[in-house]
Amino acid sequence: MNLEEKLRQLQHAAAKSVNDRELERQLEYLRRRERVERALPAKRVPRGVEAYIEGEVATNERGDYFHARQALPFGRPYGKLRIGDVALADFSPLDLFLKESRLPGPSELVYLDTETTGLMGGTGTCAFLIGLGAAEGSQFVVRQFFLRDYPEEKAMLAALTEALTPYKGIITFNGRTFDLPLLETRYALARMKSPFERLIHLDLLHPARRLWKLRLESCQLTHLEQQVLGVRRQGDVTGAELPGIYFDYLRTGNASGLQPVFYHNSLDIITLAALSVELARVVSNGWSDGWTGDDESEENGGAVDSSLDLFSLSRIFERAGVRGQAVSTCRRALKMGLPEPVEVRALLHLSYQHKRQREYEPAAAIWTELAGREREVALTALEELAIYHEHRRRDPHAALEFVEMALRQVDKSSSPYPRFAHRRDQGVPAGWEPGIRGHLEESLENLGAGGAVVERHLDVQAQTIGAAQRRERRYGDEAARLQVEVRTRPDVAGQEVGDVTREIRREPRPRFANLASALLTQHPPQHL
Amino acid sequence: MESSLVAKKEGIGVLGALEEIRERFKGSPLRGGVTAVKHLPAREARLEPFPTALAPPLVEILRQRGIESLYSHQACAFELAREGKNLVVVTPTASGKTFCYNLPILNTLVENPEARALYLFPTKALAQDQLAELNRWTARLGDEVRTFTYDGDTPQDARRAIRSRANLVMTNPDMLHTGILPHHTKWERLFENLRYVVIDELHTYRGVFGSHLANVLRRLKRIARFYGARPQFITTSATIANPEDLARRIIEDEVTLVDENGAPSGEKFFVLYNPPVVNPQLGIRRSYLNETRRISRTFLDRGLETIIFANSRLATEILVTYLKEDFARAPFGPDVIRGYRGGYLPLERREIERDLREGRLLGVVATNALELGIDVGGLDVAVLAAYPGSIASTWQRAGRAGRRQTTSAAMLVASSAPVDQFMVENPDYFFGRSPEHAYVNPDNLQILLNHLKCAAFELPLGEDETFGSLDLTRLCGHLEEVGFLHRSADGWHWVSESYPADGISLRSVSSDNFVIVDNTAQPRVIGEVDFSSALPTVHEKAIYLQDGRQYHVERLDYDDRKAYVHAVESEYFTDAISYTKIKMLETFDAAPAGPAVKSHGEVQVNTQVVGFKKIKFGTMENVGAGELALPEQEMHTTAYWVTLPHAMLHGLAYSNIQRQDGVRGLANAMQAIATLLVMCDARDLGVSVGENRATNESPIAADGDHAPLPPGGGAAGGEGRARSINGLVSLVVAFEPNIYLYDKYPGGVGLSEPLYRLSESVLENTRKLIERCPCVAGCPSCVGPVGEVGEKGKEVALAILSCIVGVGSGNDPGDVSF
Repeated sequence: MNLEEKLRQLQHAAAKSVNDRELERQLEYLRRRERVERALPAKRVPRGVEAYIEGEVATNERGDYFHARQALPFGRPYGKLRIGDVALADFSPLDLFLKESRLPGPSELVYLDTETTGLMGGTGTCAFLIGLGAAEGSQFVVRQFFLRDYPEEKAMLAALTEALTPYKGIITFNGRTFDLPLLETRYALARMKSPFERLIHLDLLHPARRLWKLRLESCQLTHLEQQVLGVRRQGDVTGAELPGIYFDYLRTGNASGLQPVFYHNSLDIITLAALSVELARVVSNGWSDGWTGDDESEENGGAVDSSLDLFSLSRIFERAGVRGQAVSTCRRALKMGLPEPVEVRALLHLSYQHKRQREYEPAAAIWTELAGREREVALTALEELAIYHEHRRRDPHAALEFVEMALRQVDKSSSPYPRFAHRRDQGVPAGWEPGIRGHLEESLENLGAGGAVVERHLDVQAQTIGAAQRRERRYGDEAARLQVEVRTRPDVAGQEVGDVTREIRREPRPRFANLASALLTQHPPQHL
Repeated sequence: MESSLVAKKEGIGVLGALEEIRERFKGSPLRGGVTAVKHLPAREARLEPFPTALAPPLVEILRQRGIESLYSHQACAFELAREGKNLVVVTPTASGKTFCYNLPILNTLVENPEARALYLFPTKALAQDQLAELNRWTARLGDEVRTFTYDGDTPQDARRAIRSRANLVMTNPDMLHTGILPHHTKWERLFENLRYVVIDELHTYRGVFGSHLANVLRRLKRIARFYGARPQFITTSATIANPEDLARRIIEDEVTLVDENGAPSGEKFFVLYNPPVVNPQLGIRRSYLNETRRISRTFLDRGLETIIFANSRLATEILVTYLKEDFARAPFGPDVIRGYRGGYLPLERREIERDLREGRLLGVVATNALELGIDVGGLDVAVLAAYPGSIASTWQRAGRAGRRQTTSAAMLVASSAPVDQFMVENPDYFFGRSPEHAYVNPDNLQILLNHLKCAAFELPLGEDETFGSLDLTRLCGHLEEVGFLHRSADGWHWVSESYPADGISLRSVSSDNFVIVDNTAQPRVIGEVDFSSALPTVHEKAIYLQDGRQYHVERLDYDDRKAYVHAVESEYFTDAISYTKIKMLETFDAAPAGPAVKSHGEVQVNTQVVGFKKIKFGTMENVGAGELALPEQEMHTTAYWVTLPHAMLHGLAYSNIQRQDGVRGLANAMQAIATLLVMCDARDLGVSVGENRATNESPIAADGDHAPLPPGGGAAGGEGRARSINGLVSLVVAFEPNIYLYDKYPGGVGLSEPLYRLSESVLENTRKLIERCPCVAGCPSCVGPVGEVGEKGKEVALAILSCIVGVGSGNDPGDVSF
């Protein structure tokens, strides 16, 4: 093994003596392998950011940083809104989107958006431009903090903390999963305390999606801006281009490409503010009895003009626990008219609202209507109707009717129950999932044995009777059903059984009563 | 059966079985049967009282488990760890190695619940196994010790809690590399308080994998330093030649070796066994699988708990099938025999491990999946079906057999592969050979640069930092030139939109698995196959074997990575025929090496499963075949190669076949030297001999860690790998071969360029290796065993080398005197 030892030493010595020349040769080889052809501009241009961006270098205890300030008068129009709406709007409807906290008033709200060196997250992604927007006096002020080079990051973050001090609430677009965690990472890397913990945060992405997803094909900020606010951007760069522009600036020191970046960021912030106003307005207008304490919204055009938005609103209300509003808004949406697939969803949604509030009659009316619609909904509706008649109306005959209707629907087509269709996408071949037949047979069993029986926990009997019924129905096997053994559970024997017996006898059912009596004749409860 | 159980209790079971085996083959033909028996005497336990520093709750738990003292190595490790030393613990399997890190760490956590420890295991399964073990402790320690695994299987919603709350996190290097380090700010609490890093099974981190790990640890230490922590490393390793050296290179710090084993062991026998010759004219031996079956039964019939190791999944399953069949009518039934290999579902594996520990199983047939430190308790006997390919691995497997009190045995059943034959016929060589060295080269430029990118992503690289031994300023300068870094006043910053860790895999194998869905009744997932072995094992019409059950593969959904199978009763199994070719894509550099030419550049290695054979169980008859049209697996990588000109070879006074044998032998020896020179592992460097044409349609020969197939048991040895010699026979016209040494990683890992640069040294040292090897005509230490390279292989290889090296430049940098 001497050989191995010696070779190892040799190699160790060789590794140590990899001199510059050899390293260069290896690096050259790597360049060839990676086929790096792009000659990157390395020459530094002395003209800095100040030459292109109106802003200044400021200094705090962490060092120098660059910031720009821009003020828009309240009177300036922005799409269908005016800038001033940001200061005047009532944001309290937006509280619906917060779990426990409430948004502060417009003067204590700040809007934030960042431009970053990538979208992947992790410690290697950096925010090189942080924009803040807020109403100040009679203007909407956008302040932007720009990272001229990495060593200034701490100063920039300290300046951001400072700038956020007057505010109690912060509004972002996708800030919950992107901007704020990213900035928190930057603060952590700088070993500084993050300023976001104390701020009430509303991420507009999810509210906007919930409200407009049905109507608009995309809920990207620029798309919403166009569709909802009526703003058209010109000469803007796309988000994907931004990191490259910044990297080029870093390499060359040439700031000439940065103007569009600042422009893009400030537009995003203004849009964010305007979108908050519009979102609050729609929610407020959707509120059936008028939103209390807000007079401005009436001026802004009153009612919500899209039935799709109304339906979305209804779901927002429901999610926020405002059930009464959810129902009335949904009714209004239906009244205005919805396209067929959405209408079905709205009806179903409405029926469940009623059901949850124990308003069974209106719910049943909707299910009756839906029973005539396309198959998947019809099956759901029939199932609900069966349950309704069984449990609420105590009318097992009617319940059975609905079950049989449902079964007929299923028989019309051999395709499996759509509820399980997604399983096929997961690679499970057809024919495996229990079809509607199995599913409904289950409810049929419960129905057949009488909901009352089930509710009295005589599940052994219920299952046995169910099994007998199934056999009878499938094979017409008279003998089979007679073989059923009723094993009364000892803990529920006695009085309970008597009750059930009486109930079953009191309400003889054409099919199942026969069976039940057959069972009872064979195995009479002991106290009878 | 009953009487044999009694025999086992009296401790004569193993001896009785060995006696029977020896007896049975006494009269067998020459060169068959037991060729050597080595007796390893019993060892007394060396015990130490509990260290005074051991926290009372831990002492109490130990006492409750019936432990009243520690083995000397455990006590030693505890004291050294308390002194703040980095450790590498090397003691045999089942000697209580985990106590060596668990005790000092739990002690620290009990004293200070804010402290944190990070455990790294090479596989998720090992982490799970350790979690189960640790939970036995933590259940009694209350709330202070919070242990979790963090890997690809950890649910998203649990991750946040683990990051802040867990004080003992178990993960694997891959997760540390892609999931934890690049998000270190989320792990602030862990890094601020990081006291210990445990690296279990350190010996698995050799070659490229180990070089990657060393760089991941460089990054880990940087991050810890950023948060003001300086963790201490406790590592464990199986027996290798250089554990201390390996640990030092991987953690790049001083390491103390703990290798004085204080655990007791009963006496043990290591037996080498060669199946008898059945056809003396052709030299054909009895199938080693059938022999393993018979020998295993000798042990199993006596009620001895036996583990049988096979080298491939197919061999494993064939043996399970056989033994279950044998036990179908035995009193315990077939369920006391199980298979175990990667690809079984995790839950099933846990169940087998538990059953094995608790003695519910009599026999288990396993691949190297059970070679690692999964706790299955001690067994009576280990039977190795064929030589595992390395001495270290052989002892590791043999170590699975070992009782504290009674006698145990390990038995190597040789296949007819030349290496196996050499080992069993030269027992002195086998027993005298020290386990292999494990090498890493953390400063491999390509690996280092990749991790440097990750490091810069994690934290800017300061001007005065060090990262490996190369010139950091120059490396960062390079990364700046190619656009990944930006130099600011305070160092280099990451300026790319990409997430570098995603593009860098620590292992060569893709983690993309094929799932096996059994459609017999309700579809259910029964197992998985890793990507590289999927095509040979679950192609359509294959018989897939799992735990002795047979399934017919009906459909292979390549895109969705699923194989649909149906349970069948089959009399045959299938063995895929695959074909590999290597193609030169681009030559980066070429220069004369004497009359030969050395080159390096880009190559394409294609592997394709082209068909399969049907082989009958038991008789191993070939009962049919089929053709397949499966997608080719293509790998672009880098290679170093030497072209041996036709004229030069022709000038040698040997037959064509002898010349080919010589080239083959030369390639084998060159690979051995090359792995040493670039400090990689045999599994990192592929070796192939091909014709020097634009496209080389040459079958790849033994690729480093896989021995060529024996004709008799060929089915079970692998996926039709070694048909080199036959393949070369067809290349007789103007035979001008290239000896390729290529990086067995997609894209290459930077082994080829250094090899090209060190070419003279490779050739010169190869010559010395062969020249000075005391063997007569070839052995596994030089050109390979005679069975593979023929009687003249060694001679011809030397003749070729003297043509090349003799003429070469005199100032060879790699000249070593022996």
